Amino acid sequence: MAEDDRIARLIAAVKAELPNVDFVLGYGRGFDPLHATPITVRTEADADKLIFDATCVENLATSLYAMRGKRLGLVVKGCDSRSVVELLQEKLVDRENLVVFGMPCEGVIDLAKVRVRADIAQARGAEFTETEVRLLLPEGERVLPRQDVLADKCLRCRYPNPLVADRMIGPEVTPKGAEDTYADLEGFEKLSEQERFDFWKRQMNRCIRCYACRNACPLCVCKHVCLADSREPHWLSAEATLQEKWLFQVMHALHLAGRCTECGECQRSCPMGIPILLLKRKMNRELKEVFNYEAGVDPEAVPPLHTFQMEEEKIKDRGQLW
Amino acid sequence: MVARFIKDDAVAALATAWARDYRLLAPVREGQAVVYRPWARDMHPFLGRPPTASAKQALLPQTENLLSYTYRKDHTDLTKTEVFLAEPVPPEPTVVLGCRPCDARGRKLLDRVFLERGVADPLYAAKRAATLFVTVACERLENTCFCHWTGGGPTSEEGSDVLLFAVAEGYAARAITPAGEKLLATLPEAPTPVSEELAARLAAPVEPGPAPDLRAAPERFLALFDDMDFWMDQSARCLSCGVCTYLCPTCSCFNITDEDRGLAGKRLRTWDTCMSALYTLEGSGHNPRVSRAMRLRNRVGHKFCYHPQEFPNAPENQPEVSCTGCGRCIKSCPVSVDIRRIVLDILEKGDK
Repeated sequence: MAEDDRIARLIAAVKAELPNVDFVLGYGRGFDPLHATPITVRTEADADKLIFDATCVENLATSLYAMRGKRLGLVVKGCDSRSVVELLQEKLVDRENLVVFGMPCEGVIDLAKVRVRADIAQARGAEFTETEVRLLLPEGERVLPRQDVLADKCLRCRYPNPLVADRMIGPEVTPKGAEDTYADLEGFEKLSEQERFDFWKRQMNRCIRCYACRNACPLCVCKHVCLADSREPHWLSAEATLQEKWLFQVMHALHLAGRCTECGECQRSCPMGIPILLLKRKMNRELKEVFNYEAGVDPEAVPPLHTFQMEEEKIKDRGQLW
Repeated sequence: MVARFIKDDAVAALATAWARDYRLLAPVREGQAVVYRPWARDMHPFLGRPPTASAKQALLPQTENLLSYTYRKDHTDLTKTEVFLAEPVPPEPTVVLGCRPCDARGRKLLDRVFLERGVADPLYAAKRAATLFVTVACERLENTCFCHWTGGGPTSEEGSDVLLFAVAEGYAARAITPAGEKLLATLPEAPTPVSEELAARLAAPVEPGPAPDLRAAPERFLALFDDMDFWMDQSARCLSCGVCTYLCPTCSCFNITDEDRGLAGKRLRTWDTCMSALYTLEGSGHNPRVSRAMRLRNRVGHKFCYHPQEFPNAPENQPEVSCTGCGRCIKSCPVSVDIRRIVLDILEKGDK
């Protein structure tokens, strides 16, 4: 009931802002009860289709850069708001043209985790309680502990409440974690260099170069002028080899270092289920260690790789440069 | 009805036998994906779910070598350079195991493009002639399936050489073509209970439910062609990635690039996607399909309007659309763009 009330308040807030924007990007129901899909809201009737629940996984901030110039409303979760903040930090979107509807969030489900536990190809219904995900399947009801199927980022979420919002649709949510310990990287980092490389060779082998990872990334703003597609200069071959696939992921990770807010859209979007967020997590951990910096939390902060200091506190390169 | 029986635990042995005479592509699980891999010892073919990408890759690989070239300079006369060309290796006889009826039907639609437009594509034709499809009939329709909209069905034989039906403890295999019969020749005839189970299943197929009448789709698509608000709303969520087109069993667009490495190089044919802005980017810098709305419109229009117009059926029949309803573009779309929804909206809103 509380949730219904919240959606009603979201819809009312969106309707109130409709005269001030070209349209609002929010969530509507997708092709089945486990999928949401982004919708454009132009009219009050469109607004009535808005939903918000644990299936609203997409980071709608991904569309912001492509839609700059338009006056836009945007529904964001806490994690999505970090993309907005980072885009503002990099002056890639105009705050004046943006109306943010902030949705404090209890976590979204990772369908990859659900699929391991239940065959959802014919799901007929889904219900989300505080502790459970109740799936209505052809063979009957299947109840999963919500904790088991939440996205990894939600399990360690420190920013469930949007960091930027013009209209906050509360109540606020208590953060799950105080600090990101990057515990998930430990096992991987223990592997030898050869083992890590073998892991990536196995994983990247099935990449189909669809660039969903790139296009789903709210901060990968080059999109179709990406150097992966550039013919002049010719960085990557058109040949779908392991080498080219891997080279792109390395470039993607490096270009996102200190910018990535770990929304996880790259990994979620991969049709082949390649765990590419791992690369970004690794980069962010390094950035945290070297610059004590976290992307997309402070609109005033300058990303460390957007600036330089003559003497970096933790980079001991003096003497080696000369 | 003649059917052969393959016990569950005999699938790998059969695959091994085929792999002696053919290049065998079999689906295996990798992470959450099911991918086709060339047969290797100790492989576990996985037939339980439709493979993540379609079987198109057997006929139109993501990368195909059209030719290799080498330049040789004449050292006595440096104004002269000779070019040596090497043609691609002819395709090996291939068996694709574990595709679905929607994949197999994709062959017919690829044939339209590569064989039936006046000029036959020799590389495609060679692969087409050398490739056999061993298809697994579907026992159910997933939420993303809509083969019955497009003239197919969960047990459609079209395009398959062998059709496998899951039965107790294994598969009942039916040869659809003589080449398929050859593949099954070594197998024992199915025991009576299996044949009965198969007959019962064929007599009571999965009921896919009603399908919309698509006869007006081409006309209504054209009526909406310039309604950019309609296409903007359909495409605002689209990420312009290549998931839909690359996983599609019928998308046939390719790019040709020369990959130079000094004095040698390769001319490659690679998958292309009309969802990319680069697809229509012209040398002048002009792009006739500059927005996502225009690009998504093209994907839908190609399948449900331009193709039926190019290969028309009798007007009283449902049109031949260049879509087999496999639903991969829906299932794997990061933002759940649903081509069914777009087609239904076209049918509704294009009716002026």
